[in-house]
Amino acid sequence: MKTKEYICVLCPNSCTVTVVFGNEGIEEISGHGCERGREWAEDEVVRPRRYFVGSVTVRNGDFETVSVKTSDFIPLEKAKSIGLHTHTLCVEAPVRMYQVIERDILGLKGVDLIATREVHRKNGA
Amino acid sequence: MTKRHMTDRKDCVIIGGGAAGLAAAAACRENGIEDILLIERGEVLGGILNQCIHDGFGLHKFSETLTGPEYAQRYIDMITSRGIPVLLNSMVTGLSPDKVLTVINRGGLHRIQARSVILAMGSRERTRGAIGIPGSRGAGIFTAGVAQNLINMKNFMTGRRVIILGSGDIGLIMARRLTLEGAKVLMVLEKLPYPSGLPRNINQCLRDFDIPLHLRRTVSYIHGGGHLTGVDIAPIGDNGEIQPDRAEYMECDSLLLSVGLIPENELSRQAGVQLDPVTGGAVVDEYGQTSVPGIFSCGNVLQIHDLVDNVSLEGEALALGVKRYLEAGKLAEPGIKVFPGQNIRYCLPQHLSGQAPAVISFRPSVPGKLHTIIFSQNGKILRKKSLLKINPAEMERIELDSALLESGSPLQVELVPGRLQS
Repeated sequence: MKTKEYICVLCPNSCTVTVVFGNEGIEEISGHGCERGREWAEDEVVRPRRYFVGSVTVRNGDFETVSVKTSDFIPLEKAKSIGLHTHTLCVEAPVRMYQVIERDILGLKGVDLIATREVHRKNGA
Repeated sequence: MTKRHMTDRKDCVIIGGGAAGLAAAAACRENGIEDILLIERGEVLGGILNQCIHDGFGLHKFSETLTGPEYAQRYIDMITSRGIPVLLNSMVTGLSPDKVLTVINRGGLHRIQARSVILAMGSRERTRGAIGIPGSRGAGIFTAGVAQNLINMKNFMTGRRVIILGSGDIGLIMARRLTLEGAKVLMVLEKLPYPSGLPRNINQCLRDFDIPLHLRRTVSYIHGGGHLTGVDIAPIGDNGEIQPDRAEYMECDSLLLSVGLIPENELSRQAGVQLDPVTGGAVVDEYGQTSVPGIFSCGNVLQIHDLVDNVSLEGEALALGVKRYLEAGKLAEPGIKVFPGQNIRYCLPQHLSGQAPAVISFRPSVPGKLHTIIFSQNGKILRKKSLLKINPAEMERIELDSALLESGSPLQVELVPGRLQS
C-alpha cells in the first residue's frame, strides 16, 4: 500500500490531504477540512487542475492592464501556454468587471478568460 | 504671506483606503457614525489589493475565492453605496496627539480636527538596504511588491532569469507570476530552516512549476555594473551566520526581495502613539485603541497579516470602540496586561479592559504539529483550544469571552505541545 500527501490549494487553510492507494486506485482520503478538498485531492492524483490568473494589455485605459482569471479550473499543464497566450492579447478600454476577454481559452470548452477589474477609458482617448 | 487655513471638523477620520481602512469606514457608518472621512494617498481605493491579481481572497468574508481587485471592489461598492466621503490623491503628512491632521493634495494644505482617528496606513516592504546585502548597486534589484506592481499594473517585465530571496507569500506569488509571463525563476532562497509563506503557496507557486526552494541559504554578494549579472549564494551556519567562503556564483538578470513588511507608523509616532517593538505596530486594547485616547489602529499598520480577510475583520471590529469613544469621550482603562508565554512570538491586543468582546491574535514562534493554545490568569485556565498544526507564517485569531476575565491580573497566552488533558 502506498500513501501520498498533498497540500490542498483551494484555501489558505492549506490542509495536508493524505491519499492511500490500493490495487484498485484510491483507497482512502483523509486530512481534508471540507468536501471540496476531497474532490480536489481525487483530481490531484490523476490530473491536477488550477485557476489561471494573469493580466492583459489594455489600449486607451486608465490602467495599462486589466487583471484576468479563468471562469473555471484549467489543467495545470496548460497554465504556461495560457500565460504566454494572454501575454499577446490586447483589449480596448473600457473593460467591464467580468467581461469575457476570450471565450473557450486555447480551445478549452466552457472555460472563458474574464476580467477581474473595471478599466475606464482614459480622458481624451 | 501666511494664509489661514480653515480647520474642518470630523467625528472620525480614517487614514488609508486599503483593505483595513475600507472595512473600518464601512463598519463605522453601519454602526451609525455619520460624520466620517476616508483619506487615501493613491489615485484609487483598494490599496495593495489592486496589484494582488491572484485569487484566494475572501474565503472567510464572502465564502468564495476572489482575486484582490474583486475583493477590493466589494468594499469600494459598500463605501460608494453608503455615501461615505473619500479624499483621493491626498497625503496625510501630520497627526498631532490632539488629533489635528495635516493633509496635502492638489487643492493645497488642509487641517482637519478629528474627534477620533483610525490608523490604516498599511505597511511597506523591507529593502536591500534593510538587510544590507553587499555588492554592486546595478539595476535589476526589486522588492517583490514593486515587481508585482510593475508587471501587473504597469505592464513592465522585470527580468528573464530571476532569483528570489525570501519565501514570503509575495515572493512565492511572484515566482509563479513571472513563470507564467515566460521568465525563468531559477530558485527561491530562504535563510530560515522553514518557508515563511503559506504551504498552499509553496505548493501552487513553486512545486507546480518545479521551482526549487533552498532553505538556509541567502544572497551574500551582488555582481554587475550598470545591471546586475549574478549573485553569490551562501549557506547559513548553525548560529544563523552567513558563510560567504562557501558561496557559489549564480548568473541572473534580476533579484527579487521578499524579506518582510514594515508597518508604516510615521504618523503614529508623530501623534505619540506607543509602539510594540516586536510587531512594529501600536500597542492596543481590545477595542483597537492605541495609547492615545481616540486614536485606533488596524490592518498591516498594526500587525503584519497573511490573510486579507483578517485585515477586514480587524478594521470592522474598530467600529464598536470608535462609537463608544464618541459617545462617552473615553473608553475603560485597559488594566489587564496580555503577555506571550512559551512558543508565542507575539500576541495582540497587548492589554484588555475586559469591557468588550476580545479577539486574541497571535503568531507561533516555531512550526509544529498538534499544539494547544491556553489562555490563563494566575494559573487558572480561561480557554484552551487544540490546533492541528502551528506555523509562524499563519496568524491565528481566537475569541475570548471577556466575562471570564478577572480585572487586574495579567493574561498569559501560551502554546503547549500535544493535546492538553483536563
